Amino acid sequence: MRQLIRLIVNGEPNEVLVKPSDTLLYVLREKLGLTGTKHGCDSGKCGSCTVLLDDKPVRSCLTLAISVRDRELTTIEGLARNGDLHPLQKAFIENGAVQCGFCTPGMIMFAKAFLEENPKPREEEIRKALSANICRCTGYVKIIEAIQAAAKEMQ
Amino acid sequence: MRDFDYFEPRSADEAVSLLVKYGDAAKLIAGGTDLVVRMIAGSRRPKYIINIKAVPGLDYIDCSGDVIKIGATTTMRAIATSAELKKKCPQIVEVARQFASVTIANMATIGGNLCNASPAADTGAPLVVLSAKAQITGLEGTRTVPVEGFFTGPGSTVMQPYELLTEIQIPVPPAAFKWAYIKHGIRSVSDLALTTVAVLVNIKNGIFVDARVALGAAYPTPMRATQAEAALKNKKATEATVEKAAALVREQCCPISDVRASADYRKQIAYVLTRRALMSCLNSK
Ligand SMILES: Cc1cc2nc3c(=O)[nH]c(=O)nc-3n(C[C@H](O)[C@H](O)[C@H](O)COP(=O)(O)OP(=O)(O)OC[C@H]3O[C@@H](n4cnc5c(N)ncnc54)[C@H](O)[C@@H]3O)c2cc1C
Ligand code: FES
Ligand code: FES
Repeated sequence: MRQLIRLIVNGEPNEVLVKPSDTLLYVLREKLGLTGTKHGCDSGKCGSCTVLLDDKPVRSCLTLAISVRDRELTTIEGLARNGDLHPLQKAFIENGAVQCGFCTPGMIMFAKAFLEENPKPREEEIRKALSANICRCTGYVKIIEAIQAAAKEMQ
Repeated sequence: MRDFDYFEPRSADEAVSLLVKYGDAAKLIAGGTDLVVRMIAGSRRPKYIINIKAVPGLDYIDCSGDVIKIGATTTMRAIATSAELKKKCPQIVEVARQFASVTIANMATIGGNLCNASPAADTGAPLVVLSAKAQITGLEGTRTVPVEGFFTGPGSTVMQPYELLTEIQIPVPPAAFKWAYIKHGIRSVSDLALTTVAVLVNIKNGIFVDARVALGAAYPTPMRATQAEAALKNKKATEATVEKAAALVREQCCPISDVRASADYRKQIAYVLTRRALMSCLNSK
């Protein structure tokens, strides 16, 4: 049976009609039109669907939308402030950390939560943490550089 | 994913009543990192989903007594980052740190890890060597079983269909005991292991006075390496003793062959990891 739930996405409350089997990924993309969050492996492995739930990264492909009603969600669309890109978004562009771009929203959402917990990470720590997200294009080096640059910028 | 009805019980007893009412057609969900993967793939098609993460008071880490108590819906990330737990039982914190990626660990629960009963799961072997117990809640109230006797095969446990796991209890390990947990996998931190080994030993005056060894993904359930333990107990804490015990692990284990590795390779890894884990206990001060 479909139910009306409230999802707070990027600070805005939204009323959405969902089936209990609708994943958060599906609702974000298909019901709210927020297609920045990407649909990759559908099995928790790739990280392209990563969003923040109460500021912590989760896989939206494995999250039932109904189970996160009334909670705070942040997607890639919520990072820019008044048209100004988030330091991580800028750093990804400036460091050439984007090729096809498919992994980028998930990488940036993950990196945002990571830097909040660990504002001055060592390169090794970034590398280890990034095993959460797969990139098929860049070879990761540019992504690591972008995260390091953003970390400096954000201090 | 097939449609289902969704429930958020407010207590463990309410979850039990729902399980009794809907029987086999119902499934509990916690973090969903095992179950939703299967539901998307179509290999699990429950008609009723009961979300036990919604049950208040099942998510806690209580380090106040001689036995640490961890609520079943506590996430692996909460365990990995608990300062109090790190003081009392650094072993389980280390295991949680090796579990998957931060993102999966934010969702995944310790209860789900045990109840999913994958022989390769991270918490199985360590909780066996730590002599942990599982508290199960059902119609008749709660009962407690050793984690060692909790698993009955891949994907199956001693729990009845109308029961749920509510708490994991770990006796605080004596500080003098040496410990090692080694996980060997393909995608290191982000995946299930090919083989894991956990060892907890007490070395006094150059003798192994106590030794507990268990392996994951080496047997249909987490395997207590009883023969290796017997070969260590009251023997000199030397490389030769360790070598003998590790060789016995190779004999006792019976891993599967699958797409990720052959049984022979896994046996060899079980031997190597056991030797390495025990040697690291020997060499640590
Ligand atoms: C990308 C990825 C990486 C992973 N890496 C690892 C890893 O490194 N190590 C590892 O061990 N696992 C790993 N896993 C597997 C999984 O994340 C863990 O097993 C996790 O702990 C399961 O917990 P959950 O809360 O998500 O369980 P769920 O999926 O919610 O439930 C799993 C099963 O247990 C039952 N269940 C859950 N809680 C209870 C309860 N309290 N009482 C009774 N039954 C219950 C459910 O009905 C279901 O059958 C990984 C999974 C993914 C997708
Ligand atoms: S789509 Fe969710 S992890 Fe790949
Ligand atoms: S830029 Fe293409 S997958 Fe990462």
